[in-house]
Amino acid sequence: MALEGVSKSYGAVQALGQTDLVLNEGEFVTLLGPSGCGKTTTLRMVGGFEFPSTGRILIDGRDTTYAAPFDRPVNTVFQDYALFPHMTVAQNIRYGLTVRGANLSPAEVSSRVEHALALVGLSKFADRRPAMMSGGQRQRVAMARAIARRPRVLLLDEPLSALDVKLREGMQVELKRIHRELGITFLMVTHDQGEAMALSDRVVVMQAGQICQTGKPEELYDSPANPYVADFIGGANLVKGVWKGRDRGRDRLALGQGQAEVQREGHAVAGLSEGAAVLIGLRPDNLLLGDGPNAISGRVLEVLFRGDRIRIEFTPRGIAAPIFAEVPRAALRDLQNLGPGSPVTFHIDAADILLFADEVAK
Amino acid sequence: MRGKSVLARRSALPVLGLFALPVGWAFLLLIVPYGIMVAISFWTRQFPLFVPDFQFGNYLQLFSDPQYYTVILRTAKIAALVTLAATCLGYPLAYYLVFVIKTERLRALLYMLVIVPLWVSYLLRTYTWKTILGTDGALNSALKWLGVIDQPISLFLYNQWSMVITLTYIFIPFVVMPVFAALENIPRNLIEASEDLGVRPFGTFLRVILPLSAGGVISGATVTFCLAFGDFVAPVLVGGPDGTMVANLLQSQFGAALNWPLGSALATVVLLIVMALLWLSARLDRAGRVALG
Ligand SMILES: Nc1ncnc2c1ncn2[C@@H]1O[C@H](COP(=O)(O)OP(=O)(O)O)[C@@H](O)[C@H]1O
Ligand SMILES: [Mg+2]
Repeated sequence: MALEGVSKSYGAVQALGQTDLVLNEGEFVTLLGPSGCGKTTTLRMVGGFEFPSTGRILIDGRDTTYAAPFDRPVNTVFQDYALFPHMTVAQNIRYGLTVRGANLSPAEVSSRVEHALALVGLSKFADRRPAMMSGGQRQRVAMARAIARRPRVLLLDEPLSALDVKLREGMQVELKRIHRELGITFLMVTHDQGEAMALSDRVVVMQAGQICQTGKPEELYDSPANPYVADFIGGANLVKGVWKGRDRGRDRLALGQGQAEVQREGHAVAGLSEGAAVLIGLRPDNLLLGDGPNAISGRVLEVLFRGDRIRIEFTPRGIAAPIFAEVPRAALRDLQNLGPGSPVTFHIDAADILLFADEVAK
Repeated sequence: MRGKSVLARRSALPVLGLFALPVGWAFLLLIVPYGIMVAISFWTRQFPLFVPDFQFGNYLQLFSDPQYYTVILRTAKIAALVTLAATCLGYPLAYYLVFVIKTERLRALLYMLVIVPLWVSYLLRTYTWKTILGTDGALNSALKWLGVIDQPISLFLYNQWSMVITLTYIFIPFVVMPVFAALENIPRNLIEASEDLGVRPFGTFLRVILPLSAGGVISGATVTFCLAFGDFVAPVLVGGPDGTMVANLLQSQFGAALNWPLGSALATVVLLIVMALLWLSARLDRAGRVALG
């Protein structure tokens, strides 16, 4: 499936800018971005509920840009499930199998319904009404109903957002398993980066109707294309610094009152002149307690207990914004009385520092 | 929370009083009159007086004398036709308002236009049809002007069809209102889900929209049938000689014919028919609701 130069405007509001995207057979791709960035709009255009303002949508090489929803080999798992309240679970699933285009014999229909129910673990609930089921069960019915039609692409709009945290984690595992068992292409939408990272083969990070970066979860985490992606995926402290030059494969930076050295591949800082403003991304996880290379010291603002990890907010000397660090609880064992006001020093490996040109300063 | 504790602290007496008032009113204004009516339906008439009694002669007369039961049957037939016509016209209208009109403002405006006639005198609206259907009414003038006819036709007015037309026009809003509400309550994504599952718009209408708006149809049809069944204005204004309906018969029993016991028996029968209908409608509605969960 492919989007070619697809964009969508509602009157003066541009919901989605020119977008290109190709999904490979059997791939699990997630559109990730904050609320209002155009994820649902994109999904609805693929589903046929909205038509693009420009561009084409191809499914299996066929141009389906303006095809009606009932004419596309895709199915949607709706955000609030959209189960038919006047039908039982089995009737809901059968609904899409008895249409003229499906050409299924009654025996095939039954076996598909049973198979779909079994796949989501709801065989015992075939005769229930959706109203008598929990959120997680309804979610599964919605999934079963969509996959029973064996679509080429399954579209999922925030499929887990209505579930509580515990259930969501269980369903993530289920979703992954179903994807593996079916081998269908999945296109999911979410604003939850953890969910996107855990499930997807490829994540498409979006911001204000534009794709910022597309890549495997690890790629996005390790080499974010810009500060926005760095912060959205995994979180990052963004600190202003000055680029001082490069020697022996290392970028030298002025960071606060200190110095830092960065040793990373593939940074988009080529062509910087000495003294250029840069943004430095420090992941909370990568900040290590104690002195070392690339040290930053300051005073503790707040210590937050996070179970196995402790989150420390501190104001580094010479840097305006506070910085968050997350350290394992064990690392704090020698520092029992660390609290607001205590002096603290962190360091970070040269390979863990993210470096971006400061677009705003330019 | 606070309101609850305040209530709990109060003594039960004023609360009882609060309920006693409406119960008292209901008793005085509903139970007592109906009781009297049912009681009188067993009385005997000895012209010009009515004698307290307990006999079923009045009911027997209603069901054996064609003069009466034909009127009851005719009334049922006309009410059924009106209900059918009002539903068949009102449903598409409500559907159009909810699904075809795109802007909220236009929808609200058109909905108001459907409802507004209810504020105009019912008598006036019935009378309007007399001027439309009459021999020198709008319809005849128009047909004459078009050259379809050269003499006014008296066929349009003073028959059962003119009654059905008039009552249908009057009661359409009672169908549109509940159906409109039912259609508006159908989540849009159910319709999208249906199309997503490969079902075309007409199939979606039959399998999703219609079942989910059945409750509105049932309540609209019930109200329309009951109101049409008890109507006494249309028969007088546009009904003509063979247009007498139950309500007119009732009127005459308590007036010119001066037969209160027979009138009471007739009223009791009408009451039972309407109550049976309401019960059935409530049953259907409940069945539908259970189906929806
Ligand atoms: N039907 C619509 N009419 C007007 N604007 C819309 C419509 N649908 C979405 N938008 C706008 O398009 C933008 C993207 O919306 P959406 O795709 O729903 O975002 P997301 O799913 O990422 O939260 C938003 O600014 C939203 O207000
Ligand atoms: Mg959305």
